Amino acid sequence: MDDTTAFLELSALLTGRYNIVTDPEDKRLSMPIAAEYRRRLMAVFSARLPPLLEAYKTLASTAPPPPINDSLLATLRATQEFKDNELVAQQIVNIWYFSQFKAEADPPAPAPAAPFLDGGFYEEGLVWPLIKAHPIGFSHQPHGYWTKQP
Amino acid sequence: MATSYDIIIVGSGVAGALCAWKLSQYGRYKILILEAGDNAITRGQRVEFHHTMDVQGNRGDMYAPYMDLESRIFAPVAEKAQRELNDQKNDPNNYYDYTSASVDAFKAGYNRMVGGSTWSWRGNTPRFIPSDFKLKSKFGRGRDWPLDYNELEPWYCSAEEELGVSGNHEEWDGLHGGYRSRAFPMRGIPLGYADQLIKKRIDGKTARGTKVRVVTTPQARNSADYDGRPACEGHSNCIPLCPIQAKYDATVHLRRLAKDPNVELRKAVVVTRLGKGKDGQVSEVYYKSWHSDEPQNEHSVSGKVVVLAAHAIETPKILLMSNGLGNKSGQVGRNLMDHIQFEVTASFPEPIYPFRGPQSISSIEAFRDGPFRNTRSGFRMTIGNDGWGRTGTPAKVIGDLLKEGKYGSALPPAIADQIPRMLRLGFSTEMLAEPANRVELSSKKDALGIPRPLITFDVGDYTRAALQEGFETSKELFKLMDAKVVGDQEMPKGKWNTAAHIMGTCIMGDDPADSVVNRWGRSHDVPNLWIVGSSVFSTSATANPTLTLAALSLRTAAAINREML
Repeated sequence: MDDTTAFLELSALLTGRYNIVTDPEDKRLSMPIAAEYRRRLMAVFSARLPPLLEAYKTLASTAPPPPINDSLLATLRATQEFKDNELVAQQIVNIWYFSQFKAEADPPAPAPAAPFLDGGFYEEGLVWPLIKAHPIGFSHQPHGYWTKQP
Repeated sequence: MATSYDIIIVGSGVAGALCAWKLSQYGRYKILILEAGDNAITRGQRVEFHHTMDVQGNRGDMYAPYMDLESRIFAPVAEKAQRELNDQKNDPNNYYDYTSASVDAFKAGYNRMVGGSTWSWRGNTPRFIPSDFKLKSKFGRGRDWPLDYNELEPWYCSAEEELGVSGNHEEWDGLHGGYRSRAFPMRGIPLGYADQLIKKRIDGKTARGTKVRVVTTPQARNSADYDGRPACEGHSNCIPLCPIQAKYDATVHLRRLAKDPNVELRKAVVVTRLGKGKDGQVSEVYYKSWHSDEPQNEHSVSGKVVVLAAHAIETPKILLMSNGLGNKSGQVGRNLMDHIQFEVTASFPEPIYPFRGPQSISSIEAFRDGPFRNTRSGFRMTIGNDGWGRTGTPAKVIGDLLKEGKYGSALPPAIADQIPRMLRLGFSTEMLAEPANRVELSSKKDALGIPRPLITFDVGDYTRAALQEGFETSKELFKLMDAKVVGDQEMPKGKWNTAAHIMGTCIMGDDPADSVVNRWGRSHDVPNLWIVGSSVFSTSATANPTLTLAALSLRTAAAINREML
């Protein structure tokens, strides 16, 4: 399994958005996004993303491959690689939902929160359709749309 | 390049732009605007700012769209002022320097750009109410303005027309005694789905012994096509940038001025001091041009009249660098004020779908005025349409869900349940004009060798008491809504947010002994020196300052014209 496909499947598993691998059209549109997200995360987590990805690949390499569901997720979360690199798993979730991620966990208050880094596909963030909003700064609707229940 | 003008205006934010525009309409003045920033005012510039924001990775920061501007080096601003005092003091690169007497951080920032801080303001434009002008005589606290609401009312109408303010006349006419002689230029922004649900639950009810009304906030945001700009499309991005200019910013007036051959906008110049002639008037305006091959060299230009419009930190700095000019009262830089705010966050009993439409549409004005103002300030409340505002973003909700272990199939429904219920009530209090709160000149210099601001700041107990009351009021309102307060359950000690409304540092008054400018904005000491902007505010009140400063700027321009006739 190539790294991009593995990353896409791992992303679906963590985010709960299975459609990005189960729906052929969504998968086709998501692959280039996955490639870019993996590239940007690797730039920051070059030592920590590969073990997480390898852990997933190991689990997914059975024949037949296991379905992407909570049972597979539980197995993944029980691995040492996940426990050691959960920060990266959180950033995989962040990058898909917001097209943003953090390089480090937030230090305890009152220190300022770690800044977000750009994922490159802000308008494709998965959070916006889920909450029935739009990417902030990018509305494609007419004046007054906000008066109605979405 | 001409070196002599009728009027020189320092600063091209909303105060300077409106003043320049009003004076240009008389058709008899050669006007020079000196501006520290150098950005363009075209649609292409707006698109570029939108793109910069897009890739910043930290949306919502008021500076995010402007991070690529070279002016950040030569005309720095307090980009990290929202940090706590010790964090700012321990950062050698912090723009604000602090005295040891400072009790609180001064968290307010501003833009030094062509068009000023209106690029990134929210756009809310409530008026001051009559009591706000008479804090001393009515409540025995603070100061009185040397003018009253009646005197400013016609100028409020003019300012609303110039900015393009939408609002509902029937909601605001007579509110706290503030009559309106004209309807708003546009009807109010339609209430969002969330506002309607909230209004249904609390409108007409009583909280803290006061009857509550949910009204549409007057805002410089088009509810219809106006002045060649479109109606709001609800990008929900008011701060830091409206992508389509449905929200007013000062480039509206600057673009009009660009067509006037008698008006010159000189960009990338930072004024360093004013020179005084033998007649005691301003004779020269000195500046450094950071585009030039030798940016440390000073140049000068002269004008019959000089107007300082560089916002309430840089304007007093210019005077303080001018060898005592205009400061016989000793008040230049003093009486520094901000609107000290906080917000209470909650989860509404049903989805209200924030992040759709402007960041805030409705407000509660009931708590702005009352006899309590003799012991604590009033506050103005806004209903946020931006989730939990500064307190918690949608990313925080998801981060908390992941900490609970909610990966996988549990995550999307949890997101879909929690984020659409996010709601905040913000409350904005009033500070008193205290001379000890001040801006001076630091020994630390910026890239052009100009002193940074040295701040002494203490929020004060008058304001702290209002923060406490605002928090309790918010809790009662949430209880009326059946909303569950999330996060802080009590007003945290020592914690507050800035509204970035900087005021008071060239205070207006009738008495030259304790004020910098007179009722028209003219320096008491220097006949050809005028000041516009929120630095002249005698009280901070609880209303966003832009409409009031816009009204005053237009009024001052008319006064300048009368003097020059």
